[in-house]
Amino acid sequence: MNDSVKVDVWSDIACPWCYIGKRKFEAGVAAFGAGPDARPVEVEYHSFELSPDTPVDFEGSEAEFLSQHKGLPVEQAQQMIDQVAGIAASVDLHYDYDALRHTNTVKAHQVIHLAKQHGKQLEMVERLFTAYFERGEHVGQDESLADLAASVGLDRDEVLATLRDDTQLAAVRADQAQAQAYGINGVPFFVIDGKYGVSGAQDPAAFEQVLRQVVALRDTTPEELAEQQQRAADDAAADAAVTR
Amino acid sequence: MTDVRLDGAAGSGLQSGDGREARPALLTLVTPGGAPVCEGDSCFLPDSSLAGAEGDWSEVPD
Repeated sequence: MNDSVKVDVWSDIACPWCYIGKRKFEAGVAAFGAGPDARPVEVEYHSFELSPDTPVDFEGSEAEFLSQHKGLPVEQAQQMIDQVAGIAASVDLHYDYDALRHTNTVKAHQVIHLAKQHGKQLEMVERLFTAYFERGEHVGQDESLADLAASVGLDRDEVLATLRDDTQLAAVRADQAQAQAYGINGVPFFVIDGKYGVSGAQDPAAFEQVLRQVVALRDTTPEELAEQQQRAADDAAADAAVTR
Repeated sequence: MTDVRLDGAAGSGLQSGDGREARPALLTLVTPGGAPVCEGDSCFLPDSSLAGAEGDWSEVPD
């Protein structure tokens, strides 16, 4: 097996926990890299559309969108926004929901796939997240996406042609099909070494420990792994019995 | 340190109330209490991360 650890990440640009989870994951990878089991970590992002029916343009604030979409009072929607913005700030992200341009993300996913072909996927993902959550830049319109892509070194005309012809749409759909095959219902979702799944914006310590655990499991036989699983199931059953 | 444990293939790090989770092709490495996640057009935060009410989930904006 390759010595590096492969992490496939399913996320959506319009997912607040995905950006927060990205920061926490990166901190976990850094801690893992400083530890005794350090290995190179190869990260690849995959497409997941949380809300494919979202329009490209919405005139109004995020609180108003939430209020209309979910039937909530605007004040309650604003409280929710303030809550998540506060958590983002705890990982040094500065979500600006007043400036945020709510939009459909399928084209942004196509740009991420194009960037992958040019070896710039990680830069593109980061640029799109900060554009959406921190800078109030539009990540659903062709021209804006072309500008964002050009800022990380992609050819602007190639981006526009890609979006015009939907040449990366099949790649987006393939990612979504793989997510479905894995049974992924929510994001962020991390698949490590193609076998182990981690759901949600876990804390950095959890990511670090999972990476160390996966490396340790490489030296584990299937029989030992089955025993560990049986012990885990027994522990869970015992816990359930105690709380019953 | 967050307690991370190995769970079986039917396990889940997310208990969102309806018990809906299945990742047949993956072994799931989980942390007790779950972690913030977005599903569909809703995003959730375990209340335990805010106020210690483990098992409850609050909706936040997507």
